[in-house]
Formats: sequence, C-alpha cells, structure tokens
Amino acid sequence: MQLLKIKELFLHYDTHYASTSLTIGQDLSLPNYHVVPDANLDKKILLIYSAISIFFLLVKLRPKLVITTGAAPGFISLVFAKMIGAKTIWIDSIANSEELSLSGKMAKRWADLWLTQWPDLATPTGPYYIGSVV
Amino acid sequence: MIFITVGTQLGFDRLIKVMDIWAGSHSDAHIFAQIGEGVYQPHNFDYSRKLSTAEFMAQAKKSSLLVSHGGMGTILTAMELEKPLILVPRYSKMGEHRNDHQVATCDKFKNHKGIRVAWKTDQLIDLMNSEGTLTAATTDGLASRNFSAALKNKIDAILGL
Repeated sequence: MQLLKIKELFLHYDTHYASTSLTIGQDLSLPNYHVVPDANLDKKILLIYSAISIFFLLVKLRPKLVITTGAAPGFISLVFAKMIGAKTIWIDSIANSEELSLSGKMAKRWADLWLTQWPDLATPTGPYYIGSVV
Repeated sequence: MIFITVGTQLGFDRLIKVMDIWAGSHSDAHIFAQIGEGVYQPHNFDYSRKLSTAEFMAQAKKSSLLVSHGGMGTILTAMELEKPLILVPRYSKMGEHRNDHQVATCDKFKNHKGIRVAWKTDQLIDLMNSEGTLTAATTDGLASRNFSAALKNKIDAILGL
C-alpha cells in the first residue's frame, strides 16, 4: 500500500505489481497486477505455498529489479529475486518507527539498496534513509 | 462522533481519564473509546478494550475526530480517511511507555496538516474545546514527492539508466 503512494514514479518503468490484496489491482486499475498468497511466520504451510507462488511469478516475469516494503512475502520475493539475478530494494515499512521489522533486518543480506523510512533508524552501514512516503 | 484509541499494546489511563472529564461537561458529544488494557474505566462514554482491524476502521470512518496515543497506525489511518487527529504521546517518565518513541513520532508529525499534538494534558482540553475548528489530516504530498525523486535516482543508478 505504501508503494502506491509513490506510484507515479513507477510509471517511468515497465512495472508489474504484486500484493496479497485480492481487490487493490481492480480498485486502482493497476496495470499488470498479480495476487500472491499472504504468509507470516505463524503459518508455516502458508509460507511455503506463498513462497512457491512468488517463485513462479518471478520466473515468469524475470524482472530486472524487485522493490518491496515487506513483510514476509516481500522478503521471500527479495531472496528469489537475487537467485534469478535481479537487483533488489528493501524499503522498510513507515509503520516501523521504533526498529526495523524482523524481515527488514534479515533483508540486509538480500537487498542491493536497504532503506528505512525513519532517519533515527539509519546507520552508516545501513539501512539508509532517503525519505518516506508520508 | 469522537473516536479515542490507545493502541493495541498498552492502556493509557491519563488520556482516557482526561477525555472522561471532558465528556462529563460535554454531554452532547458522542464518543467511543478503545481503551486497551487500561485500568481506568470511563463513565461518560462507551468503550471497548480491543477492536479488530475492520471494527477499528469502521469506527474511524464514522468519526469526525480521532484522539489517539502517539502511534503510527492512527496517523496513517487519519491521513487515509482524512480525519482531524489529536495525538497524545506517551511519556516514559510517566511510566506510560518503555521509551519516548511516541514523542519522536509526534514531533515528526506535529506540523502536518490536520494533526495536532497535545504535549500536556491541559493542551488536550484546549484542543477538544476547539474541535469544531480542526482541519482534516491529509498527506500533503511533499514527503512522498521528495522520496519519489530520491528513489528514482537510486533506481536509475541500479538499472544503469
């Protein structure tokens, strides 16, 4: 949802969108919208199903760059993106004002650009702060 | 309707008490509160301890004013639904939170359109007394435009454009 606040930016590129929402693609008339199953650490079976779906979507689309604000499906996307040779950007959620989410911390390894939306959370070795969606 | 929320983690007795007193002298005000694990139970308005996301959004949509602890969730909700918002940060020195992160959050948004911060309890009373004049919160777009521009530079660099 947060990336949609800057969706004009993505019009500059050939962009495909993926999220767990069943309706947002239609609600906002997003071109190239794909639904992926939701997942979190509490439901391991769903996590595996989500991961498989995301993997096949990435293999089909072969993006050059994957951008996500997390959480678990976003993290999974980053890992698979790296495996297929894409570049990756992690933008930690604006809601994480006190500390990075668990997936945000893990994303360091898999992100070519590792960002937080809170300047207090930025460090010289990342995550970096270049602004926020609100 | 005025919707008060204290968040999902902790109670916030100071906020609920003050609002209860205000409600006592404004009996025509329609108020609903989510009070979490708070000890203090208000006499002058209805409340619930927990709300599902759907229930929370429904209450927020119905309201004409949000009064909230200093949490990001309500800030984002107020902007999305375009409601006036009064923020009341929790203070660690009052034992209301383990750190002063809500103070930092409120400080970031204090000048944002439609958002007012009650740093002190009497400021909350003043803001409540002028609630008819409070404007709705919206995203003013400046932060997202700046972020968009900065991110575009990064993306172009990564893609070698």
